[in-house]
Amino acid sequence: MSDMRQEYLDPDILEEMGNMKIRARTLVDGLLTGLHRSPHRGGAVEFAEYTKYTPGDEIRHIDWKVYGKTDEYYIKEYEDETNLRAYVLVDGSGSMDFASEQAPLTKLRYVSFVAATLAYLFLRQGDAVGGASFAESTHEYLPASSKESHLDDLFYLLDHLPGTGETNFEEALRTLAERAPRRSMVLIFSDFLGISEDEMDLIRVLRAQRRDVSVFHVVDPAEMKLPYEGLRLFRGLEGQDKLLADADDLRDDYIERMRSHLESVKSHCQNGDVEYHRFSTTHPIERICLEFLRRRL
Amino acid sequence: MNFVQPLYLLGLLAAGLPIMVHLINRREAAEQPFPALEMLMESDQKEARSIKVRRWILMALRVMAVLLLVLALAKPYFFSESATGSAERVPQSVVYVLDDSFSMQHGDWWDRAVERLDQDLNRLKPWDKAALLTTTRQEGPVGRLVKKHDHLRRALDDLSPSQKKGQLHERLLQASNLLSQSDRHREIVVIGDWTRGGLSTISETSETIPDPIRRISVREEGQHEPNLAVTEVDYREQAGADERTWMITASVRNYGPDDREDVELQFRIGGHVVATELIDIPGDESIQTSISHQAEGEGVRRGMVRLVDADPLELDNERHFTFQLRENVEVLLVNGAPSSVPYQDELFFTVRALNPGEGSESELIPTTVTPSALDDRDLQNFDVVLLANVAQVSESHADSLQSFVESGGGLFVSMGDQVETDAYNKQLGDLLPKPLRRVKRLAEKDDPDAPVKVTHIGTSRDRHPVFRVFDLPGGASLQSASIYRYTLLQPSPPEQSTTLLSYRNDAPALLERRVGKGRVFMLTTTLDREWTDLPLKTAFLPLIRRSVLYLARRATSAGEERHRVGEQVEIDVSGLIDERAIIQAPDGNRTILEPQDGTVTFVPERAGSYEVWADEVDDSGRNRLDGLAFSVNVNTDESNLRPLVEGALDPWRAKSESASNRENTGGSKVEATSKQRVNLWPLLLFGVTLALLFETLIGTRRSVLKRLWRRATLQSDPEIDV
Repeated sequence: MSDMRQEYLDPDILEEMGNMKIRARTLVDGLLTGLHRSPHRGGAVEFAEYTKYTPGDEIRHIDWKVYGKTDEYYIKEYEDETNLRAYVLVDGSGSMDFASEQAPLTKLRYVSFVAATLAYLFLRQGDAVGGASFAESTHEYLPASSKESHLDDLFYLLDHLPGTGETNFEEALRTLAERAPRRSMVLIFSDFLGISEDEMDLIRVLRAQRRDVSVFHVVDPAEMKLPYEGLRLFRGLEGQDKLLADADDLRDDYIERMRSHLESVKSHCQNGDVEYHRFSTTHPIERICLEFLRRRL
Repeated sequence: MNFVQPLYLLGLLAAGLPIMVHLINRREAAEQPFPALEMLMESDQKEARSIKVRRWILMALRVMAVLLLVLALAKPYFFSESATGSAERVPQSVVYVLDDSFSMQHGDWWDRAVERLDQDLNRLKPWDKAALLTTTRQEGPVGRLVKKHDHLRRALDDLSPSQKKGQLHERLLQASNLLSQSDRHREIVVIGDWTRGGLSTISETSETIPDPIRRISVREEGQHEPNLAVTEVDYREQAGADERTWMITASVRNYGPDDREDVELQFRIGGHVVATELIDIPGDESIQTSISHQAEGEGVRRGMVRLVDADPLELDNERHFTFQLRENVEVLLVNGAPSSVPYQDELFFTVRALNPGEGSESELIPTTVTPSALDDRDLQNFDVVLLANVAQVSESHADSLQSFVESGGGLFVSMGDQVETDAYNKQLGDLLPKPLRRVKRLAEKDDPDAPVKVTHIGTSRDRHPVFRVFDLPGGASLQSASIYRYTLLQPSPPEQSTTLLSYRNDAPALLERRVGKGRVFMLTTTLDREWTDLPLKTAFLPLIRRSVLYLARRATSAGEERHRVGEQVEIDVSGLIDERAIIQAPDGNRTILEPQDGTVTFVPERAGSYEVWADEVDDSGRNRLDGLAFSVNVNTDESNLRPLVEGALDPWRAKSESASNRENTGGSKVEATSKQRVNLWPLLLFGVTLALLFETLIGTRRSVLKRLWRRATLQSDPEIDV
């Protein structure tokens, strides 16, 4: 972890930064430094070859450096001018607003940072980014846009996720299915606690509709180990009843259930050709982004 | 159960503490937000039952630990006389006193006593010391405190009940003396039948026993054992006849409360049953039964009276006796007017009447002495003393005669010229039937008118044994005798004497007086021809012989010493045995004794007839001394089998001990017990330790235990890879 702290940004410092935009830019700078090459790929201005200028072509596309060398007008040809639309879908339910003693950030803040970083990257390369959050009572949706000013709206959304109430996957996924165009990219950030089989199926439906779906499954280290000792009054974060229990009594069975749950989510994703990323809130945020980006190089 | 610190019991209220702590813990459990609560709930639902059971066990262990701790602080204890629950008791010194008196031969009492003693020995710890005494032995069998209890067991195997009476008090003192050398916890355990007869000698003045006495009884609880016993056998030769008839009288006592009927009583003499009677004996009473037995020959006769199949205690159902059949009657004739002319001698006719001399088969053996030679004679060697015309007797002779007659001897006094009436009245006043007055002269022998002047003897008392034969032909010659002189007598109380013969003028001729066990005859005329011609009559011979036989000392059990098993017997062997006397017991065992001052002493161990033998052969070639044979019987004090009353031992015990009498169960009685205090708190503290140990094991976090288990089994902790 100490090595990571040297290599990556300390989440505490990240938290103290002024706003999401600065955080995102800092993260992206770090990312690019570590990557040693631009992640531009499939961008809107992907260069392919030079062709001789012919009347009718746009004059702004003439490469004047080549004209200086050859005295001929050449025009840059772009192979595929993509119009990528990415949507970050962030779970803002109560279960996400949890950080154990081992974790520097709540799951909600953590995925917000990841989402903001990736959104910033997309926007920097000219893609349109939209966002949505889902919880029991609130459901925010931000259409995709590639405008620089749109980034502020997106970061506002991510900064003000509610962190209360039950998860409402179904409505969020349905909305996205309706509004996000096909071939768009969908990044889903959640802990997937309380998700049903039907809701998992909806994710697979999104993929089936030719969307590039990536699932970011966040977990807190305490959820993995149930590290508590003694009699505790466990309180749910989504309005459940309280449970008085000794963690020792339940630990083994709980860990087994949690493992089963994680495997279940993962297998659903993999079976549906959905890209799956699972990470703990103790992991460096950059590492999560890099992992995502590397898969797409 | 008792407590040293009962106030600590208030601490039992603290048993509620674990419950309160549990409730408080529940209330004050830290709240923990947790996102995956649904999964926790599902796990809780699955584990709920085992968790609940574990919590209840934990709660119970904690409550139990508190309760046991509080109880231990109150220091509970209880008293126990059985060592089963008292493993930590202090070392003991125990003296067992086993009753081996003859009453223990009743039924299976002895076997029970041995069994009880063995059980009690098993109770002892290896570090306890024990000794074993019995009530009839002065020593041992294990007369010192030993740790090797097997010594006692071996000694016990060799023991059997004796025929003696127990000496419990002496043995308790001995036991107490043994214990006084020990600084351990002391106890005297007495195992016996606890009959009234066995403790008949308890008195208030007896020395007290300071140590606690535990009573173990072999009797069945509340059961009264009936018992009959032959308590005495008396015999005496029938008086006044020349046939040898013996009256044997047996005393039988019923020690039970119920009447007994048709009990067979056998009389055995010389090994043969001579009579059998069926007797009825009322409860708690004694009866006497007599038989007449005609004995032949001479020598010692051994007899036994026996109750046949009367009760389980056989030993006191028979009683042995020994009596002597004597051939001869020794007569000491004191001649007051000896003469060198035989027919003028005072005793010429008398001696010949008693024993004609050589070749005679008469059993009467006369020995004639002069008055002056009387000093040399021991009157006890004679059966009859005859004073014939003796002038007077000295004061010492008079005393000897007095005691001789009182002890059963016979005295015959005849008158004559020599007799000094005043001296007689003075010296022999307590023996003579009537005091003498003066001599009455009726005629001189040469007086021609004598036949007219003399008197004759009148009728006799036919019923008297002496005159029973005078009704036969020839018997009337007694009345034909002429009397020239006779001694007049003074009046005396009528009950003092009996006139057997009178003269025709009613003056007494022959009188009888009973003195003590003996009899005195007085003839008021002479035994020679001086005053009468009676010696010339045919009646003279039977008169003298029958009178002497009548007066002769008779064998009787009266005054004989009763020998009892376990009590010292002294035998006078002076003149008979010089070096060694051999006592032969009924079972044939012989004991060799050396006389001390003419006496041998001996303690018989068994009942029965004993013989005394001289180590050397006498002139007659015999060394068995029949005259010294004797019988020994059990002490029938032991025959009273009724249970001892509660508190009977109190006079022997220190007051503090007698106050703590109590009973135990199983037919054993404990009067003063050592009440071993058994402390329970070490056990309770052990319980606390166990409860806390289990609480720790069950209460330890499962995670720790599981981690330890995984470390031990080289398993890795369950983790979820991200």
